[in-house]
Amino acid sequence: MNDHADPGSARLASGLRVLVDPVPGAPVAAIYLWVDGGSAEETPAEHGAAHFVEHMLFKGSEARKVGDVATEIEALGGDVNAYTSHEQTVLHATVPAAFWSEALEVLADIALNPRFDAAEVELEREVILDEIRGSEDDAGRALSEAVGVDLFREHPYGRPVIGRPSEVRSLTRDALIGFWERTFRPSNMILAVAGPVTEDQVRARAAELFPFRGPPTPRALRPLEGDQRRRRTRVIVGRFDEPMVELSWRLPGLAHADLSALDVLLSMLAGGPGSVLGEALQLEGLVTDTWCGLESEADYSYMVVGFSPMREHLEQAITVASRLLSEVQRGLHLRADLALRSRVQLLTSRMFTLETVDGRAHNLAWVAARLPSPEAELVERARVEQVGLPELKRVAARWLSPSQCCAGALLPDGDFDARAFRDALDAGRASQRRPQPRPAIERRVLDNGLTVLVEPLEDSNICALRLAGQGGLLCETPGSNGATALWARTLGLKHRGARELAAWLDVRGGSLGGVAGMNSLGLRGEFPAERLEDGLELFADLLLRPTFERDEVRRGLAEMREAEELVPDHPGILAWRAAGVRLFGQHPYSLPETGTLASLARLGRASAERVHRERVRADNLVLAVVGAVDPEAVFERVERMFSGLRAGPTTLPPRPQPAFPKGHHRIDLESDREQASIVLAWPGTAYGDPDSEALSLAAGVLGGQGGRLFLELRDRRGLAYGVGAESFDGLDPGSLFATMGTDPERVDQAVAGIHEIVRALAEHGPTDEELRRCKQVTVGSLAMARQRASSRAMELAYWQCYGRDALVEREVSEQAWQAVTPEQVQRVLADRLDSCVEVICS
Amino acid sequence: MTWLLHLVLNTPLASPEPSVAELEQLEAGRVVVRSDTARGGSTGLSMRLVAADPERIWAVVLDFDGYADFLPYVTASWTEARPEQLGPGRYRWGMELTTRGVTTRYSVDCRQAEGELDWTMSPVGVSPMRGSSGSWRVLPWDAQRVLLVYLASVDTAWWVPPSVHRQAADRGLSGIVELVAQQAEDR
Repeated sequence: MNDHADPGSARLASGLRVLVDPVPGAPVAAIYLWVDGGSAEETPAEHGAAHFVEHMLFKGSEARKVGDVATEIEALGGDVNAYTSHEQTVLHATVPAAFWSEALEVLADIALNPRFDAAEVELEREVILDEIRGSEDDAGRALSEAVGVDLFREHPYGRPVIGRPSEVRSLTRDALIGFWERTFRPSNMILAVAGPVTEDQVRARAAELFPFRGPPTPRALRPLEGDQRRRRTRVIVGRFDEPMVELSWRLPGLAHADLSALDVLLSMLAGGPGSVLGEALQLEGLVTDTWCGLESEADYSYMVVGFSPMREHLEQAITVASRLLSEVQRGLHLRADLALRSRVQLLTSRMFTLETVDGRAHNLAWVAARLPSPEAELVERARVEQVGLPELKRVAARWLSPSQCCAGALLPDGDFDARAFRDALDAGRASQRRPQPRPAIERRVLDNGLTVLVEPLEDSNICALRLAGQGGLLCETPGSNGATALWARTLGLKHRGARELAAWLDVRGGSLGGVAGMNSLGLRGEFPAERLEDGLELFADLLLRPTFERDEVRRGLAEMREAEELVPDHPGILAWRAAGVRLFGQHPYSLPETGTLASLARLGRASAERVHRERVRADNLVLAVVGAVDPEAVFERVERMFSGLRAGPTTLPPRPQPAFPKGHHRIDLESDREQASIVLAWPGTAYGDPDSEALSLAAGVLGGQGGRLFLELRDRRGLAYGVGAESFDGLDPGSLFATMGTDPERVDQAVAGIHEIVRALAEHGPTDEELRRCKQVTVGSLAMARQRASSRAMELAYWQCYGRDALVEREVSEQAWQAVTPEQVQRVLADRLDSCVEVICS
Repeated sequence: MTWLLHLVLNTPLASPEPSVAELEQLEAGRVVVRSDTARGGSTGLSMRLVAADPERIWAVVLDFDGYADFLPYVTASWTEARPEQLGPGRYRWGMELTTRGVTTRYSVDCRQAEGELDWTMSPVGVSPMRGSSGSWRVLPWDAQRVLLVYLASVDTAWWVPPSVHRQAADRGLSGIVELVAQQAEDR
């Protein structure tokens, strides 16, 4: 008896499909422009062109110069980005709601009128080659690409979207323009907008901006994959120290009826610690992580199950995983509780995705590109909810065949080689066994000193909990370094082990985690709103009746050691740590948050218990609850559940001040990576310092896509793929720093460039326009973050924890940002340039 | 007539008294809609003055086989059982709703009492909708007109975004009363 009004055809005369998700009252709007044309549409002479074209869209149009795009969007207080996949090139922007029309004009202009300036093409070619170099250092990407080659031997999905270096070097400007002309027509595009806008408004504006440029481009015939009758394996030995394994299966394209059930099956297999592989591998300490994914594209889909084995358990982890997968294919391990957990996880993750306008616009375009209508997507979800064990067993038997698996591994140098990998897989099989009007924030302090903040959100079905207390790295010494991180990893319940807790959370669609930071420790949780009581009870249990099980502590320490041993693989981290040691001297900020190998060797259960005893005191803690909640009901429950929490003493231990050595200090580190990492660091400010906002804005003028470093060093000089600047504040003074990844041959040029740009800013200050842009970026990014209940809860908890008044801070902090002048930015930066640490890891 | 409205609208949704603006809307021949979207469900009512006698309106409402002729998105409808089989005032009928390429089949049970028809509707097969219920009411107004009131409460799955069930309920509420009223006036 109720039906949906159909707004009629979503296509404009130009062929552009327009989809709108009106979100009345949302502070920001998100725009996604999906172009039906990715790397799979490239001809042999165009390999790498889709991604190259995506870069060139930002390098000037008929109406805009290089760098104008990011600058303009940031000046509106938003952000803009793009990505390329096998089937699509996607441009997207999120801006304060009042500027959606301006942002749409920018996206339309760069998509339809790019200049392809010959000199810019050459500069960008270097940037992309640098991006490829960076991606070669990315272990996960290297493994996925290697397995992809086996999954798709004929079809273009097997080629890397970014292209290979030789292909990128030989791409001509004409080839780029040819690809762009063929694909970037409004009739090949979907425009999706979410925010406080109407369909009529968006359609009218889009009709002005997107003229007819020809009919949709017919898709070229693509080669089909032949049958796969035997397992395919691909192994990379010695390139990375961290072992990683992925097992993938090719599946039919996105219209296939089995995909909903396969989504559930995959989540049961490897979706977190409560999954089949999670229980057998992660909770047994054989791997540090498991993951899974199902990618659906027009021609084919594929599913992947992955894990990172502990190096000393490589063989065992692979054998066990292989055995379990084989058993699942035969219908074992598929229990009703696991199915329920996975269904809830899948449906809940979508709920969280739709919390922001960005997620909603993305979802709108994603659905439009794949399904007949948004209603069809709801039916898909309903199908997920109804997937039962018989169907799961059927799809497992049909699609999880070991002979159709493509297995890939990254193996460190050592005895366990490609042959051993294949043997372990075989051994496993052989050993088979069985946004809305802004509501007020309310605060109450319990008798024991616990501060509780509640912010109800009306158009939400989520509740986010955040607990914060002063502590973290600030309370650690070189000997106890990593203790807070260990506390956060191993805090558990006496009567509910890690597995039970994971399962408990899964069936409630919740998430939970311990948090260890530089200045604080805490807990974070997100739940469907109807589970608020469960979430609060869980927090109370963890705080009042904690346990640190020996096995959990052992496993936590093993994972932390494993991660620490792999740090030499990451030159960026090495450079950052070296800079921190020199800049902060004996101050705890010089220590890594996750501890050192030396400190981890000394830590144990008692260390975590001590953190809990000393820092988890009611008057040191703030609990923020945000979402679809009633403040009075929250206060009543918190009072009932948390009143047993003991109070102080809670003062922070004495510690030396940061060193901030005078002069210019250069540190050179060696690395065998393809890309050199550079970190330059200067003294920063502390929370509450009147210069804090000005220094942060100085970092904004330097960093960001519209920042000076990006525009000059990447866009104009083609020196880097990634470059940026940030400042961090702590309870004690922090740091301003610039980071860059570049070609090792051009390190000196890059470092000189950073110094030159920073000095110029310190001498002349920012322009009014730059400062305005940075303020808008700051305010805009805060508005974007505040779409999520979890971000709001975090903000409230930390403000209160660090001595601000959480009830008024949103307003006060915005005034502080707006009050900063160009002269203040100049002075704040100039004041700290005589102390600089420069680290090059190359 | 306000006492009558008071009686009819005595639901948690309705305010005790119809506002002056609502009465003006009714007199101008427009549909008045009241809706409230609670989490996980939508409740609402819509009403319109109809220049027809009650029998003509009931003839339209009870002509389940004819719904597909004038309700958009109802692509098929059929009567499954009548009072002769089910007992006094009871009906069962079915329909297919097609919205932007998605067709869902529903089964509807109705019970008619004096001046009203209560209904409950359940999807057959996979659907994000859990079910819905409501009623039609036909009330005397003046010599030429009657007041047609439609109440509906929709339950969707817990994971359906609030905006989706709100839109579904709001759009359905305003459209259906207008179309039934037009049919009755035209017959």
